[in-house]
Amino acid sequence: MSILKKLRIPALLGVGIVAASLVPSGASSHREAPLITEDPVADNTDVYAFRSPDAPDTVTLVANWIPMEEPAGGPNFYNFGEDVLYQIHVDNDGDAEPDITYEWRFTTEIQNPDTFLYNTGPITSINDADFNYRQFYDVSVVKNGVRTVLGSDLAVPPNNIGPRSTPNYAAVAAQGVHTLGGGVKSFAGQRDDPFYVDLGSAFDLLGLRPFNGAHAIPLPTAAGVDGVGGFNTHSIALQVPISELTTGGSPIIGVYSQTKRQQTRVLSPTGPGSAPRNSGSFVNVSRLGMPLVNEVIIPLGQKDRFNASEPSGDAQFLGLVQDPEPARLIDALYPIEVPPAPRSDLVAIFLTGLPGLNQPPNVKPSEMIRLNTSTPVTGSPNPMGVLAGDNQGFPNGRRLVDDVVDIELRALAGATPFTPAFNRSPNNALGDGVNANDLPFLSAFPYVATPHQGYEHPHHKVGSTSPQPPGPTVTTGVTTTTAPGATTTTTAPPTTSSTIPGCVIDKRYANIIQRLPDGCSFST
Amino acid sequence: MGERSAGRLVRQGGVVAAGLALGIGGIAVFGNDDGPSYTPGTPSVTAFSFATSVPEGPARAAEVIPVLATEPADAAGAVTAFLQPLADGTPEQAYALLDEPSRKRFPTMAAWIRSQADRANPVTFEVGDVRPNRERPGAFEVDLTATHSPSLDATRGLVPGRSSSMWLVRREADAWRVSAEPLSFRPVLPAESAATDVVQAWVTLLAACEQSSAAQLQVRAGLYGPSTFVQAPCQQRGTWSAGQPVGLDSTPDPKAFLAAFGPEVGTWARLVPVQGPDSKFLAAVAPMGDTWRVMGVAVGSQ
Repeated sequence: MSILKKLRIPALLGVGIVAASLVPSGASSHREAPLITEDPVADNTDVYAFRSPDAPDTVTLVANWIPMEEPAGGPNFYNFGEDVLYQIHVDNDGDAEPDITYEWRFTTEIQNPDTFLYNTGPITSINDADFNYRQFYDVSVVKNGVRTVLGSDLAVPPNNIGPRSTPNYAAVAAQGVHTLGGGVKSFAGQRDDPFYVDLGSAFDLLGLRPFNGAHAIPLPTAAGVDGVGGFNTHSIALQVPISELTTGGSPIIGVYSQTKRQQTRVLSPTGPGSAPRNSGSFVNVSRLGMPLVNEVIIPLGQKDRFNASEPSGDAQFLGLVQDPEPARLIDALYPIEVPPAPRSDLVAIFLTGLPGLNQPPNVKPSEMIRLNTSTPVTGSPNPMGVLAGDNQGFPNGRRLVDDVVDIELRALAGATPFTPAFNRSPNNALGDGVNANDLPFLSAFPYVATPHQGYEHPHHKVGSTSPQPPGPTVTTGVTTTTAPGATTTTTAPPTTSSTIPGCVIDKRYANIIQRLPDGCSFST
Repeated sequence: MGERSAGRLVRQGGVVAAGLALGIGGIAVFGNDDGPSYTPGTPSVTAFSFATSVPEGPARAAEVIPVLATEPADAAGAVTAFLQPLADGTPEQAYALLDEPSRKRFPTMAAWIRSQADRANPVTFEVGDVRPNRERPGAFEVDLTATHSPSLDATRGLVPGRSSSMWLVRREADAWRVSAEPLSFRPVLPAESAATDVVQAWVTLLAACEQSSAAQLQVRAGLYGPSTFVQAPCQQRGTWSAGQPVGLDSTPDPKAFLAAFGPEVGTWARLVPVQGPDSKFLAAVAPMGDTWRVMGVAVGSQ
């Protein structure tokens, strides 16, 4: 029997109102462009493409939408947009045009519209009668101008509400893995956000807590804090045989996602027309391939344009990759030299793929994740990917485990074999101090971790981190870490004092710093 | 960097050394909690384990745009020459006939080919009247009737079994060129009275708890709208009857249909009142070729 039948609805109404106030206003790196921040269900946060570790003849594609889902965000929890067209594109011949497009459309079914409850009792299966606010989807593939439906009316598992509502969540969510024809598996639903980054510091003038003392506005050094930790997202995952994707003759594929909405939306105040009416062609509102490109490479004035654009037109953004603002900021905010522009190394990493690894023949530069599907799956992936000699990792595709923030930081600083003069400490040790996801990934499809539940969950965990590779050996009162060929520096453990050692702030910031911290001065 | 004084460099060098030391030490101290295990990072490799150069291959071949064997003689001929390849499944043969605005919309052949998935291309067609377009000097409107392979999905919307449409043809550089999309497109609907018969048969099967047979009269297995309505006929003893079709504005909650198909759904969908012994609802029907099929259910106005 449902709880609704046992309890009187008015008694629960107060609970619903209180719960609603718990929904955060939200702010994160995922909100990468002004317009898309107003449209979370269309806001694509990350894309992953990797050979499936337990099914190496397949590739798993994962794309996430709805950034920074507060797990306790009831009573109206998170859902895919019914009026949104979700897409993952595959370019298999390097011409910057999608050759294969996977599409998802969602529908919502409210079993009982006379209650505010998301569920009217414990949800013990994906088809549970008490699972009130349900979603289903169709997934199709478009090849050569022909759309083929791969699966219809596929069920989306519920949000992870809490121990009363979703007591055996992992088992229910597993029922959301659908096996389709042709060796394809599909999943769509809430997951833990697999992205990990020190958001709070990164967007505080490009702060890296482990390097706080070296910043132009120094702060006490600290461990990284996973700003996305404890938050969920909505994942779409598809596992596809490699043979279905590499029909262009090369084992290298380019992967990116797009989110589309119809051009016109009309809101009416009353009557049957009170539901929004969308019409017109579907147009791009979000686009994502390589992580962090639109977030930190594309400037504010062009971010919305980037989201609306196609990879085939990426020549317009070439200059921004050749001379990226974050590299200039690293140089300005830290005493770290970076390679001069124009940066052909970054063009290879972000736009063409690495020659000899994941660059397609005669590639047309465009922003997408490039995966060489012939690279063997490694049993022990290194989160630093290619920069650690693990050629199956980022930027050869992107695995869930890959530390794309640190890899890109080092790439921007020139700490790759492309620019040997800059591939040294501290450039090759840069990192945000967050080196792992806050939850373990699954060993089987869809791989993305089980979402946090709303009843009890942590946020911003400090210490789900490890030091990024130290150049020197550092001895503290607690731990010794050694790297070959390094010099030794000894220091005392840091304190929590607000004293800032060597606080000399670059005079270029004099016009934006209203009040200097105690003990600080501007450089002359 | 070049403008920085030597003193400042020294000062900052000290800062970065201290920062690095403090940072690493700090993490060593703070990182020891009960969080998940992690793999310590390693410095970037000094050399890639793959060759960072590839031999130059042949230059990427430019897209081949098929050349027209013969230029259409008039506006009607242009529409025929444009639509026949689409009916034949060779859209690349139609690309050269796109007018300038359409070529901007589909700048590459690849983009044009991809767009076919969203088009209601004809199976057969017949060109009708031709007349000047009043708003575009030198352009003509061409009437068309066509048959299509009927379908309904939330991405492409309704593809009717039959349609009447009007196409725009321009004169560009002494040649006739066609706009990619028609100026107007109107589905030809089956007789509305047939909708009542279909819904009556459907609800009768539901009342007999023959859901799988009833699904044969649906557009698809899953229906738009609250599923509880569909369960009622099997649960209530008595007679169920279907009434006369009405417009989509007869339900106060058309959200599911509008979200899936946009406001155009109001032009082709119909609602058929369904009355049972103890309850009632509206069955939404869509034209599928020359008949109707149930696509959803909705609550009726009180």
